[in-house]
Amino acid sequence: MAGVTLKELGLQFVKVCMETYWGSCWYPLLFLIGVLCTLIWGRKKNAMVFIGYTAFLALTVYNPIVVKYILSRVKFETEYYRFFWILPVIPAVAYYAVRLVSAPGKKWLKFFMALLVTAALVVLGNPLQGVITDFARAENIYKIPNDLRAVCDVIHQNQEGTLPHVVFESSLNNVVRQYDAGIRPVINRNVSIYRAGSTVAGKFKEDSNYYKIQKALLDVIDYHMYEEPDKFRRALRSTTTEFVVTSTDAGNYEFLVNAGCVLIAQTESHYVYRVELGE
Amino acid sequence: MKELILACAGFVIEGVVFYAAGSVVSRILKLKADRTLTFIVGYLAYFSVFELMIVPMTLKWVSLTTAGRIWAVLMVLCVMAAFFLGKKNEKDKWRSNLQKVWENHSIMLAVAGIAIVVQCLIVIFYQDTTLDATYYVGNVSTSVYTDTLARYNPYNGVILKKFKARYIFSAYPMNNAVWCRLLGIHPLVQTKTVMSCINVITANLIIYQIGKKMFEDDRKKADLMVVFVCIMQLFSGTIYSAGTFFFTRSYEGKTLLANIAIPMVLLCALWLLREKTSRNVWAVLFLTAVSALTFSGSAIIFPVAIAAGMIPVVLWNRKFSGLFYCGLCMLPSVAYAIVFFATKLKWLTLAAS
Repeated sequence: MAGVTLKELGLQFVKVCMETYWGSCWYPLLFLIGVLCTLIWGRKKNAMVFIGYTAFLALTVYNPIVVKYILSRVKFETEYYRFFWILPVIPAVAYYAVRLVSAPGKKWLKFFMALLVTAALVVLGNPLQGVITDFARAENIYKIPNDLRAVCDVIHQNQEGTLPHVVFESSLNNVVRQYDAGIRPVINRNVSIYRAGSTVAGKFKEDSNYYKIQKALLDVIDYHMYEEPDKFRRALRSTTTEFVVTSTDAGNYEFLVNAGCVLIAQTESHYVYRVELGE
Repeated sequence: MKELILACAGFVIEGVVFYAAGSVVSRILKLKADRTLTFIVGYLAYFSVFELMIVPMTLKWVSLTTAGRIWAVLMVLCVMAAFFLGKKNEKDKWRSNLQKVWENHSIMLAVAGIAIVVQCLIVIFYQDTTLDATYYVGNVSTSVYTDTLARYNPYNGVILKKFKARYIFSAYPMNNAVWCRLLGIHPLVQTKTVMSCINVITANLIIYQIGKKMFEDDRKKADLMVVFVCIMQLFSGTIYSAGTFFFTRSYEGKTLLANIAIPMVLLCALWLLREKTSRNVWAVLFLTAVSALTFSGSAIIFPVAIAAGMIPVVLWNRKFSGLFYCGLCMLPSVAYAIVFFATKLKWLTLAAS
């Protein structure tokens, strides 16, 4: 979990992780109520499994002391949330919900109860962003921007060797090789994540030549910083970049042309440039 | 249109292979499994065998085409074996089974079916923009393009000097690459649509089986449980939850660990609670443990899942031999952990070129 560290939080780490994992969702509370009911009135042996799970996990990987002194040694902090997948909160709550629905004898009451339980689960949950709210609908069967397909066609029609080196703006850079492995993006995915301020994908020495070159490209293509054209030109040369793809609304046409790029095509929302730096 | 036809064909063929594998394994284990459990067992057995076959091939730099051909032969043999072994029983039972299914489920079958179809449609039409796909899908498309098994860097197409232990022992992406090579499906379609749909169906079948075990074979209640789980998955929205992974990153191995392998432990625990002396439970759990490794390196946490689910049941049952089987089922993850740390400490290098 980004920003949640054992060093800072100590014994509070597990609690904070659990809160971050569930967010504003109330299902863990429903789970606890269900488990308590099983403990007090439970005659169904099957539901005892949930008690076994809870007790074992509470004593081991959800135990703040164990986590602080043992788990910290294996550096599993960022992936710690995966332990929350083990506790069967959702199957258990679903089980208790079904029991609640089946409790009344009459069919119409069961139906009414089912509607009530469904409403409660919806209200007490937290809708998935991009799925329940603002559904992110795919543009085509490949689930990539339509524009990327057109850009790839242009590059292949104009390439000279195999595996052309291309500088892509960020929205296409991480998608392109999923669609077309015959293109080599010049900007490193992990460097672009690091440049954006995150260390989850790795740390880079900022004074290294490699990072400086990557940064020179990123500064122009993604951060629209046009103060150092020479650095950008040198970066294009040293990475043997053959094409540059930028968004049409990036406003860097003049800069790129002055840097030695020739506009060869325009798609719906991107410009494709060929790099012609000369000797 | 071509991609759509290939996707449909892939979905049917892959589904048939999983079911066939399940039929064969059920026969071997003499498992009294209904169709849904047969499919689940087949799915797990398929990935277990795939892992054991593909990882050595990857380390030996075998080409994707060769691996695909060998795997295709195995799959054909498996389907033929299932056909001949099951022919006698299936034909006679088919009609009466359909009648029974309706009697047992009635309208709840349609309700659960709609819930599953809705989940599949969400996965089919959802466009994921997370950065992890760059690796997981990129690895498939790069392997198909270079005709290798994960020997090239998915980010830039450059050949790797050494394999990353974190990824190389999880052969799930290579399964997609093999299908892309065999059927000509585009990697993005295979990973994000075809296999994702199969994963959604399998995860729901596991929930149905859990429901069946929890409610003493009351299928209607099990169907309702599938519906409630579907609703909660859709409303458990933080970027870390199993539900988010299920709907938005269904192409990742981690998702299968959270939504298939880990719920399988719960199923096995309930199964063991009911059949105290059954060895089949342990056999299925072992298949789950191996396939968990196929899905993701995060299966390093799988022993905790096994212990949390199975140890309390073993203690309740007072069948302490179960502790030995528990240990046995933890072995795949333990072996992976040893190799992983050996490479991290540079005691072991896995050369890729």
